[in-house]
Amino acid sequence: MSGVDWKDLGKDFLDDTDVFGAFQRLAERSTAVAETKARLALTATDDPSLDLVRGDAFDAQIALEQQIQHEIVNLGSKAIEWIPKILTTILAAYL
Amino acid sequence: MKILPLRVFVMWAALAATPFVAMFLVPPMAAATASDIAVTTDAGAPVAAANSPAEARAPQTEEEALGTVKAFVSALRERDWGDAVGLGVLLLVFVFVRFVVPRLHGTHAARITAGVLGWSSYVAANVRSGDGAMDILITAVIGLLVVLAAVLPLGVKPQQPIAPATPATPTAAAVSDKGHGQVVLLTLLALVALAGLAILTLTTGCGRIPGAVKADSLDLSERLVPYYQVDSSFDDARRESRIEVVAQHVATTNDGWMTRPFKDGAVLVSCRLDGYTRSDVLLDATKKAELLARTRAFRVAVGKPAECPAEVGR
Repeated sequence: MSGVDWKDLGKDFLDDTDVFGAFQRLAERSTAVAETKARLALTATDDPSLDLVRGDAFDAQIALEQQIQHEIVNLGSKAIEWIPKILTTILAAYL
Repeated sequence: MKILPLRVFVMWAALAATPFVAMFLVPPMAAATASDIAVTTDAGAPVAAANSPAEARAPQTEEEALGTVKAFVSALRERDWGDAVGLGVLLLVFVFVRFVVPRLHGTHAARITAGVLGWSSYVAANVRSGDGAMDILITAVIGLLVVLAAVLPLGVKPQQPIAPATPATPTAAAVSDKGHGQVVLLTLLALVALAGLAILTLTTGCGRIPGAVKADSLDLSERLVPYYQVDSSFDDARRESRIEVVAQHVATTNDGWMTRPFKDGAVLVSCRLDGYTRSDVLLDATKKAELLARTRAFRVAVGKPAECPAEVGR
C-alpha cells in the first residue's frame, strides 16, 4: 500500500473528526448520565416535596443523553464524509 | 490501468448489503428500552420486577408453565437476555471465522472477509435492536476485539514457504501482485461495510421524525418556555437551566432523528406542559382538555406511554 500516504491521511482524518476528543466526551457524559440516574432513583418516591429535585435530575439526564446523541451524529456524519475521500485516494493510487 | 473484475463489485455489493440484511432479520425493539419498561403496574410495583429471581421459580401448573414461557419470550423481547444472546452470537462468529472458514477456503483473505461480514452484521443487529448509542458502541468494540482474535493468526503455525518458481508455477512477482490486490480489495470491502454501518446507524437505527411529530415537538416546546419564565418556584439558575434543556430538545428535534434521547425529551416537554396546563387558571376547560389530549397523542406518536412517568418530576 505504498501508493497511499497513510500517515498524512490518518492525521487529517483524526484532526478533522476529532475521534479521540469525541470518545473522551462520550465517556465523560456517559459517566454523568449514570450519576444522574442514581440521583433520579433516590428521588423515586411519591413525596411531592421532591418533585422539583426529581425534575432537575430528569432534566439533567435528558440534556446529557441528547448531548451524547449530538456527538455520535456529528461523528457519524464526519465518518461518512471521509469514506469517499479514503476510497478515492486508494482507487487513485491503484487503478 | 487495471480494471477490477465484475466479481469484485459483486463482493462489494454483497458485503455492503450484509448489515441491511441483518437489519431486516432482527425485529425492531426500540420500544423495549429500559426507560420504556420502567412503567409501574396499577399496584405501583415496577413491571420489571416480574423478571426478578423470586418470580422465576419452577412452574407449578400448566398455566404457570405457559406464563413462564411467555415471560421468557417477553424478557427476550425486552432485551433482558440481550447480553447472553449477543455473547452467543459472538461466540458463533468466532468459531465460524476461526475454524469453519479456513476449512472452506484456506486463505487469510477469506478469514478477514468473514470477520468483516460477521462483525458488521453483529453491529447492524445491535443497531436494529434499538439499544442505546453507548451500548451499541460498547458492543461494537467488544465484537471487533472478538473478530480480531478470530482473524489474527495467533497461535497459528506459519505457512509453508512458497516453492521455488518453475516454468509451471506462478512467478514470485505474480504471487506478490495477487497478495497486494487482495489487501486493496479487503480494505475496500471493509470501507464499504463501514459505510453501510455508518449510514445504518444514522438512519435505520433511529428513523427520521415524521413531519407532524416534529411540528408538534417544536410547538409544545415553544408553549412550555413561557411557563418556565413565570414559574415563581424557580430561582434564576433553575429557570435558565430548564429553558436550556428545552432549547436542546428543539435542537434534537431539528436534527430529525427519532432516537431514544429525542423520545425522552418529548416526554419531558409534553409532561411538564401537562402539569402547567392543568394548573393554568387562564385556560378554559375545553382548551385544557384539547391540549392534554394533544400531549397524550404526541407521547403515543413517539412510541412512549400516554401517561407521564413519575420520574419526570416537575
